[in-house]
Amino acid sequence: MGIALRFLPELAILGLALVLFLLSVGPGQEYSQGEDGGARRKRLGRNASLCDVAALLGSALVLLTAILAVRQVGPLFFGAYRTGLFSQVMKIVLATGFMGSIWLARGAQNVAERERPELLLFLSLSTLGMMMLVSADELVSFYVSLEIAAYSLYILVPLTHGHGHHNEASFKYFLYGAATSAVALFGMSILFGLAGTTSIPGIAAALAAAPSPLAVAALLLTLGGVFFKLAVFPFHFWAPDVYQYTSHPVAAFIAGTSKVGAIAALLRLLLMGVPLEQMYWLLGAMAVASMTYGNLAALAQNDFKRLLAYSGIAQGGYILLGLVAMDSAGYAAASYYAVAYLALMFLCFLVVVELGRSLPARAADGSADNGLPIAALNGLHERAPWLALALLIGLLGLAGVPPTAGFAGKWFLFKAAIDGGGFWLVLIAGINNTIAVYYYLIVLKAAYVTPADEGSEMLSTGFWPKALTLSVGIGIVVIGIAPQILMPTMHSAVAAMLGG
Amino acid sequence: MAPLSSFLLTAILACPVVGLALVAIIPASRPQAIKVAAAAVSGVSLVLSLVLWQRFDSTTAELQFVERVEWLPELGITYILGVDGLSLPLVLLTGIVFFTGVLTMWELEHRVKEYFAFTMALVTGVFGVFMSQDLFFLFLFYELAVLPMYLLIAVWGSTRREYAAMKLTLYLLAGSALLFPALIGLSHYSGLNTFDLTVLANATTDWGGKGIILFLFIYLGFGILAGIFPFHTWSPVGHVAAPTAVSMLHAGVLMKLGSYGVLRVGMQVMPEEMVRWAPLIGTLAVCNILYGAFVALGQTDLKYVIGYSSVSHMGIVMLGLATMSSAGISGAVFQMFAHGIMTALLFSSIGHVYDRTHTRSIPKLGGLIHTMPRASTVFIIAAMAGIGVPCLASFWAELLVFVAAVQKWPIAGALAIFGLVVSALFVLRVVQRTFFGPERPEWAGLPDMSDFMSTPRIILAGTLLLFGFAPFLMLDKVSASVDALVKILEAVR
Repeated sequence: MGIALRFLPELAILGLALVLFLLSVGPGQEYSQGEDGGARRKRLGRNASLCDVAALLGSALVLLTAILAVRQVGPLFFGAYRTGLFSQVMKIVLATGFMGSIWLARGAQNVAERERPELLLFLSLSTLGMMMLVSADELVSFYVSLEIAAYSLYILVPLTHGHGHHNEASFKYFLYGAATSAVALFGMSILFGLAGTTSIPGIAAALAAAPSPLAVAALLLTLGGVFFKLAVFPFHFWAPDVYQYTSHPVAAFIAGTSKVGAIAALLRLLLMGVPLEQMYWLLGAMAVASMTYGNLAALAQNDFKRLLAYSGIAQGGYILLGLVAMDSAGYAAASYYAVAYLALMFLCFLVVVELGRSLPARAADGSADNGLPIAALNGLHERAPWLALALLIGLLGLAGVPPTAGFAGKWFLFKAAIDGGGFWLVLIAGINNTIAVYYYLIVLKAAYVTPADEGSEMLSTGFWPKALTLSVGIGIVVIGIAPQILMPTMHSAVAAMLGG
Repeated sequence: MAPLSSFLLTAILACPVVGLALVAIIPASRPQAIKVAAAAVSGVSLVLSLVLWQRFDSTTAELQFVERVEWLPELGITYILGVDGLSLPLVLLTGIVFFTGVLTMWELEHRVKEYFAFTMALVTGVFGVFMSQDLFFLFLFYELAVLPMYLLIAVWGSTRREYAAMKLTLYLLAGSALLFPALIGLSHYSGLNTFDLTVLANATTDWGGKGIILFLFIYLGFGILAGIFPFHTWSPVGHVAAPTAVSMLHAGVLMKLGSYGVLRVGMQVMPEEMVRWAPLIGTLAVCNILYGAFVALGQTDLKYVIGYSSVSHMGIVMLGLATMSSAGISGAVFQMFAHGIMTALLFSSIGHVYDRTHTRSIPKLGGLIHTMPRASTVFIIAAMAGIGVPCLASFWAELLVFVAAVQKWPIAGALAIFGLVVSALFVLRVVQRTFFGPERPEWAGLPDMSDFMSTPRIILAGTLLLFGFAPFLMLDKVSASVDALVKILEAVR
């Protein structure tokens, strides 16, 4: 029973995936323009909304099981898998993010109705991969989990109508992903050669006993696989295209939940790098490059989703900054920031999704543009005050403005960096933060200052978007002002991970 | 102590937070209710600030009304509120400007709900900075005060508002970029792993080579908000673009956050570095005084005149701090208070003039005293305060600073006094051209301030007169804390 409970969240999401799979092979597959086409289409519609409901209920169940399993600690599958407080807490975060993504994906626009079950199915599978990733205690299971998470996303990205850009984006994503996977495998093979084991704690011990330059190189190659998911410079090339051209819910998932998974995986891998001094410089250099590049590139964007992609590259830099010292304070700060970031991204994409519903779904030629020009936000404060509020909290949080969790998170990350000797790195990060505020304010200016374009209509915001804006917004402020709600948990989770 | 004293500061801080909640709940279709709610909470905060003032024990330099809650001990963060003689006047100042600012905007019709919501957020930040004795919270409130400014200016402002708002925000956040490493660095390099300001100030830390960098970052980071030369250019532009009450809050209170930050964090935690850098700070302050005065001389827009005179007056504050003498620091704190009230009054009356005439151009105005005696009178009172006319609060503040400055650096002191002469020149010129002279036909028949709208102006003018006739009211509260600080500074010299 104990062992089953330990694996319960993964089992639950696997079960959900199976249910969705069965729904996806239902009558919806035989889509035809027959004589009774009308009736058939109607049935399809029911099927799609059934999937939405099933997925939402299922994701709630996954979250519940993740909470139930939080105290389940121990190895599984002959040591290839290990649940600890850290992995279980991260599973709760991932399950929450997953549930948010499912909610955003309801009635997804720009995704064909008959493909909706597949959308939900692969979102579940990708989350399953990430949940396994945070528990994988050994390189092979780590790699397999990483690929489960990644391959689902490769399928999700082109699952939309588009001008063809979405194909380009997904191709880029796939090629970069495949290449970094190969590189990561190469690194893992060297680590295996050096340590004689694939167990992550085993490698950490072996490297601590005999640190070598080769180990640094190998570890860096291995980390490449995670850096790709986190989209930090120079592993970021796919991000802007993917964010802009894929459907909104998939972009939300990649921007939020997938980043959390990447951060958690990064922390687990860094465990192996603790004895290696050079890691400080490598991580510091990547942090600076990533935040500077991301922020400068974001300045020039006029598509909101693309801007979020570049801002995400920069945010990845801030997170790496907290990790330069590779100590528990930095890990806890990064975990806290991951939670905050997930909530902030949810609010930003809530605006994108809700606003997307109001824009014409498709052009006359049947193609659709999945972008969201910043100009489409003009006058949002009149047209949809609640969405404007969501945008305000989300962007100010990303900009690190108090009282949001974005401010506290940055403070913790920067403190960890300074305690690790990165005073000047933090100065660079501070300057970067100032640059970032400029483009966040440009977006807010469109929403709050620029009057609505002539002829643009008022948007009605439903109950759930309002309720979620309010509750997530309050949550962001509460954990921003009172981080003691979350930080001690993160500290003990990280301590448990470092301890064994 | 009465029970109220044990949570008085939190109560004051809660006022704008409650206000924000009220404003958020009241529907936008009922602007009058929103204004009443805003006036009520700001009134309560003013009354509580007066209670604080009255209960303050002026015989001790210790922090008073201290509230302390362990917040995040792992990271050295404690929720500590407390006031001493250095922050008490500023809390009262915030209460006064908050209340009068709300009343001044009584006739606002454009997006009332959002305006008051952002104002509440800003004021929460300002109160918080003046009360926080923990660097994490101080910086949290500091940033909270800065950002609403962007929207307040960009949405409700006038001349080149979007440019001005963005310029202001980016300048101030550039300051924050320096403050982030500096404030965290204070905790790290002290080796104490705490952000408690009192602990940091009492520990004699050898900062080593990092001291110079930390102090300069703190001085520049906060100093940008205080408008130190040559980083002041955001300030006049911002003042001009901002709507009336935001100009009042901005020049009256927000700029004080900067000088207060230098005083509280820079001088108190790093007295050795303060002693080392005092000549630079003094020199820049004299530049502020002279430069602001001369530029103000050439302006034709009323708000620009006041904007640049603020740059000049903030120079007096920084000069007072740089002298590191009892008179100088008392004068600086007094000047922060007096200048806050005075500029609030100036912008408040300019706001009235502009609302009626729709111009702020000095050549176009003239003879306003005939049509708007009340608005003109309060402006003239405030303008006289600005040039240090006796019987008004700023007289004592400026006198103390100049005496201290001449004693310490005779040449700089003389130059600063010369700056005051120049400012007398431009102020009298403005008063003469705008308010006196023959009555202009185009302004005839414009309504003066109503009785209701006069109330905030009378409160401000009354405060200037009160502290002008009875400066001991202020100096008495300030002296113990200033003496303690001067003692520390002398010990390290």
